[in-house]
Amino acid sequence: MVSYKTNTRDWDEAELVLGLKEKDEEAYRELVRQYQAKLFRIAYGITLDREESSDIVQDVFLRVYQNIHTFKGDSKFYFWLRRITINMCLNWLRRWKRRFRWRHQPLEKGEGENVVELGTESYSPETLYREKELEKILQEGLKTIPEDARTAFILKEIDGLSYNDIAEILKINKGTVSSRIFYARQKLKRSISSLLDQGETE
Amino acid sequence: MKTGKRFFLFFLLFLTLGAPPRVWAGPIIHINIKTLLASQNAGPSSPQIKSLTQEYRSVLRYSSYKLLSQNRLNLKLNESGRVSLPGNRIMKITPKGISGNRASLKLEIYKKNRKIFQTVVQLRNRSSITVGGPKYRGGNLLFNIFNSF
Amino acid sequence: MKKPSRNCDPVMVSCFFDKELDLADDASVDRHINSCPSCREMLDELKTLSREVRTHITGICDTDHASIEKSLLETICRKKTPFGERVKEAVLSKKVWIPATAVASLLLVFFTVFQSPGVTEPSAIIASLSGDVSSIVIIETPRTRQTILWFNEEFNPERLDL
Repeated sequence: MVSYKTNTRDWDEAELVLGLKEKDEEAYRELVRQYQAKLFRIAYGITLDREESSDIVQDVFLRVYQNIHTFKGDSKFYFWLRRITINMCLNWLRRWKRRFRWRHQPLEKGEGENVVELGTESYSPETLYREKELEKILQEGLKTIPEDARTAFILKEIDGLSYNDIAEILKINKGTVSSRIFYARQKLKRSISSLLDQGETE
Repeated sequence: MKTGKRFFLFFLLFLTLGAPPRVWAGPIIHINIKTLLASQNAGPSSPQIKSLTQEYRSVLRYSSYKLLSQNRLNLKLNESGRVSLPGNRIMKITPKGISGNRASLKLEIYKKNRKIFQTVVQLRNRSSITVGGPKYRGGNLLFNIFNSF
Repeated sequence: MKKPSRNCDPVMVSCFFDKELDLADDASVDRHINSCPSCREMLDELKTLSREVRTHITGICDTDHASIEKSLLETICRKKTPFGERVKEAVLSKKVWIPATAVASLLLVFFTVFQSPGVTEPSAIIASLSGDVSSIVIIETPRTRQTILWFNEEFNPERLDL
């Protein structure tokens, strides 16, 4: 039976790892609470697919359940989780590499969430539309960045990793990290400018 | 008695066959126009439009929807009907045709005799379109146009 | 890392922004940026881009963890129970088959008698529109796909025709 008691204890990493190894339900709840958002951001930044990112994060947690006994504590627990997440994302990208899988991104964020809200005192329909268009442009711009460059870029921007850490995770050298991140920024800038120009001429 | 019965039968026959034939007038499109005021903090919504309010709440952020007026038109194809709207506005509706389960309706909105908006919509039978929202008394007007044929 | 040249080097600016340069290079690029408007602009662009990307991704990722938590715990629970036991439990549980049968019967009656096709098309298709309006937004309600056509009545000298 699943219980939904709110856990107000603060878990340090050692306690959490121990709880996970003992298959303690509270520990797994804490695992989700502490890491779900961070891992989701990384997964989404790499895959740009919301549903897939949710599945990946779920799978990461399941992987923890199955393989926690292999975590020896020689690095931070979050680094281990992050590596699993990145590997799953890269595997997903490899599987879908030749398929154009980008579904149409609706202007609204999702079903029932933040749908276009019209006529409020704060937002005119035009302002809301412009904001949604800018988000859409940024989203489209991110998609134009090749996956390897985007992965390095996201790890830098979203997770604040150093070039050395990124190099270690992606098994590339530091110079390659630097050039991929630079390339991603240039590509994003050019795509956004181009999309904005298109919008103005339509 | 027999004569009476015969006469009655002949009378019925006369009514049936002798009456002028009905003239086929083409389809009639029944249109119901509801004028609503959507606003914030203006009290509860009108109960008569509960289902509409529920729909609007899924996309609009107003807290209150009030039914200001309701007008019914029964129009033939290419016949125009006019409805007075708040704020010196008039809506003119002209059914242009029926195709499948949709009626083509031309909607024109005039303000002080100047046409400000016009659209041609293909409206599904027994469904509605909502056009909005001119500012009015601290809120916005919504015009819900329902048709059936 | 190569040494900074006297000319503008966008790669160095990018590394400088990421705080990945050694002390000497960092100081050198910093001095250059202070005296070079185009590099300063480049740096500002990087800051803006970084901020927008983080805001965008954080915004999209604002999810509720409760459903992931529930799903994970249910899966873990299933994994703890042997498969045979689970099957036995499911089949023999009155809590499952009595309501399931009742629901199935109701659904059968409902769909047989009250066949109600879902809304598959929007209530209105906009064939044309024009007006002295400054903007138009067309939206559709999610449940019944009712069309809402919203126009801004402000007089616009450039007539809108679509």
